[in-house]
Amino acid sequence: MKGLRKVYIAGTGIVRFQRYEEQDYSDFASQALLDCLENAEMEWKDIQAAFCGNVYGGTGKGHQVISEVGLTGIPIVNIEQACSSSSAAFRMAYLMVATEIYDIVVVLGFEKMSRGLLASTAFKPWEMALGFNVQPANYAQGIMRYMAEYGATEEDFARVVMMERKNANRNPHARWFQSGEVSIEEVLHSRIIAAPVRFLHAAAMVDGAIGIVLCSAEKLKSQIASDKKIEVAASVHTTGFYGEESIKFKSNTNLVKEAMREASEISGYGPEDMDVIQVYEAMAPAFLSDIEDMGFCKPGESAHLLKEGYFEIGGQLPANTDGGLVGCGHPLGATGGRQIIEIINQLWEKAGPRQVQGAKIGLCHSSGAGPNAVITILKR
Amino acid sequence: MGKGKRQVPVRAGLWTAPSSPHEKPQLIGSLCPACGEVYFPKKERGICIHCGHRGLEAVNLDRKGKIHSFSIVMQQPTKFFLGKAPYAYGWVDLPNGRVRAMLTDCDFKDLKVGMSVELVIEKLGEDDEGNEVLAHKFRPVQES
Repeated sequence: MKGLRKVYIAGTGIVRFQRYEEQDYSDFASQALLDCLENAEMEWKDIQAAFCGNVYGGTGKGHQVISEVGLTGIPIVNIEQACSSSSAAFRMAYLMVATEIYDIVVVLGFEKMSRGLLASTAFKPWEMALGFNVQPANYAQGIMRYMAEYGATEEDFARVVMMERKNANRNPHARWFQSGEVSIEEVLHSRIIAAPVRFLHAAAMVDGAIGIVLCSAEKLKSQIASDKKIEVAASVHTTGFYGEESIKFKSNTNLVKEAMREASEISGYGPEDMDVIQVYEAMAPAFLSDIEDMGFCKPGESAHLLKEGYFEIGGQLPANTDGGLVGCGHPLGATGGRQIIEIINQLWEKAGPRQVQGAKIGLCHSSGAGPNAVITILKR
Repeated sequence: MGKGKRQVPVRAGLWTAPSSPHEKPQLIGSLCPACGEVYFPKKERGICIHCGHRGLEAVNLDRKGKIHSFSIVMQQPTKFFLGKAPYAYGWVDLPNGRVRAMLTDCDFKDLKVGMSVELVIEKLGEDDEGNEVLAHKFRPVQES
């Protein structure tokens, strides 16, 4: 965008994605808030506005979390954009600093999940009576088409799970940290929840929270944030629209492609410039089509590249290096921010055993019922 | 009111009520006379969200089409669901539009993308008052 000042990452905080049975969301989310303030070497009184992503918490949830840490009268805005809530919140925070309304803002994302099939409320009552709000089944619709059009197989989908669980195994904040790796056979034999989506394809329903502090250049404080300045190169949010293919077939509209086009235009960086990426995949098979929709390879090509190790750490384009949704688990309101934090860790060269050597530019894609697509490009 | 169960549609206005036993119900959509876009269910505001035209016309959709995509749900979803798991639903391409509907009257293992299907109005389940709730579904037909 023209005429905007540069915005930088000041600090991050994340609590491990797991069940917090004994805790209210304000308990573990306030921990993520304290962690990101400490990481930024700032205090609550430095924060001028807060944007909080959450889906199931109810009214005033960001206020509840923040009241555990401070009460300074600043604007606290709660943002619900389904699975892309905290990436959409990140964008609002970015815009507030970019437009010079504030110098230091915080993004929070947190969720306490229920059990069972992930149900969406973005449907009308009669559609829910018909059982149309089952998200694994709605993913399955696209996956079924993808299989019919490109001949993708169950083995291809299983390889996505294998890669992500392998990465998660080395990520202390992931649900599946140190839980071992999974084999193709284990995935192929896991039960079907909504054909062709299997149990091991689906991101685990876990609780979790994140915090990210954004600021202008002169407010950067910590050593790492100042030495390895990470700038927000683009932050784009698109929703459903009518496109050229859409006459009579509205489900063909592709907001991910449009978000990618806008993000490239704003940042000047295209798919070929990325050193590391985060791809949204609440159900593992969606990884393959999303990668293609964003232009990282040709349609129908991703399964082959995956098999060759192209998306692994050490491959040509490492993807979902922290384990993605499948490896980390999926607390809706925290997921978008968790994805962004992994890109930040990679650019700060803080990703430990998951480090992508020399990563300078990274992209984060998230989706949410609505529909929403949010793409964030960060560069060091 | 008698003791007999009433039949109620899952939502009013989704399909036509045949006036004789020879007629078969059809789904009711909206047609944009300006750009040709078709919507199901009909757009209550009469506004075409594609081209912006105001004044959509009601259109009866064809009863037969092909499965564009589908899934089979193996466990009970939310408490709002009135049917029983496992159940199948998907998108069906009709000659004049694409609709989302449940799939019925078949072994789910036999369902395939591209399969020919036709509309049926069938029991979905019962509501809190014991009424029989009807829904639009598609079932496989022999290719003709």
